[in-house]
Amino acid sequence: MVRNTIVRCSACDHALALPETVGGGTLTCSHCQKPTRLWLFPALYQNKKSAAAQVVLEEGHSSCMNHPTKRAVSVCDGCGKFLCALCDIDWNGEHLCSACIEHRGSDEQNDELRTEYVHYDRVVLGFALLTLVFSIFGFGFIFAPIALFIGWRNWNAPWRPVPYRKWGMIIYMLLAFLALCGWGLFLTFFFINL
Amino acid sequence: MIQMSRLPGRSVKGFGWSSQRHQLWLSPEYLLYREISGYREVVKRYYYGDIQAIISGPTKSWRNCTLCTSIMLVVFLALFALSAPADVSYPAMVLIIAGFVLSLIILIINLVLGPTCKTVLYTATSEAPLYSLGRKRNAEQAIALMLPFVEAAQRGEAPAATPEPPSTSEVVADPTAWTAPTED
Repeated sequence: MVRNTIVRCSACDHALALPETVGGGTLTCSHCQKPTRLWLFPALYQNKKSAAAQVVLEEGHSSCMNHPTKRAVSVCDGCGKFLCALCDIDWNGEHLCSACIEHRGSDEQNDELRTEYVHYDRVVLGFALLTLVFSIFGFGFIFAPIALFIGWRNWNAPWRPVPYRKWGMIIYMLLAFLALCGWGLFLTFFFINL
Repeated sequence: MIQMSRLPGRSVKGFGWSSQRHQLWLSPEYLLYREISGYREVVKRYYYGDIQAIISGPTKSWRNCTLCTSIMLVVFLALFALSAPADVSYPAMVLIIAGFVLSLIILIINLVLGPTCKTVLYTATSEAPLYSLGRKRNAEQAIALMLPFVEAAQRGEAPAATPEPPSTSEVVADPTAWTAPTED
């Protein structure tokens, strides 16, 4: 079996001499003699097929959009481009090109390709707190509308990749709203008295 | 939203504004690793079929922390013993007692949490340290929880020539020696 992955000792970073079978156990590093717990899985020993040897385009065959000299083996389910074996990406049973994968990754509704999240509820909380803090200096009213706008604008955006509740955002927006109302009342009375 | 459960273990790296929290979550299809910094987070998904190996080796952090806090305890105790009969100011005494109590708390917490380890997950393209599994107890519990998912995912992909993996529940429960290969 071919094993291409080098597993290193966690203490000395030396390559470990792995057994030729899957399973779990303790292995002693031959370099530093430290014991390391290991769990090996069948994927380590799989001989996954690399991209098939590319067939050079022959007359009468369609070519890949990205590699004009290579034969197309599939069609992108996203945009319809012809794809060779290298360009063909299997995603959940669909054949997609790299551009379509990237486009789906930027789609807010496609959670499985998303890698970055912004905790908008915390952003709103931050601005609500800034409102309260800077009210001491007289210009806290600037931040409350920003907090409310951010909360409203990103209400349906995914904030986290794991299950979460929106009650926190509701409370923080309410805090900002109350702060804004307080400022509104203060300014109203201020100008009336003037 | 798909069902997800959080695995044992947590880690905080750095201080203050630049601190980063690490969490590991289990979903039906992949392992989710979260790196949270302030109001932003970056996630990495490790699909069970791609996981090739997980290693966990002991580190010296636990021993060093125990040693340091024990020394501090002894020092503060000695200071207290020396300052008690002497005419030491009240603030100084408070500081000595506070130092003693703080060292004791850190020592107890460190002993309760248990030995530290470094856990790394291997796929074909990456070698990912799992900082949230920095304690041996948490690492073993988390790996025991994710093993059935990894096995189930890879059983369907494993080629016929690969030997049948041993019962991992037995191995995880008592992995004192390497499991001998069985040939069909």
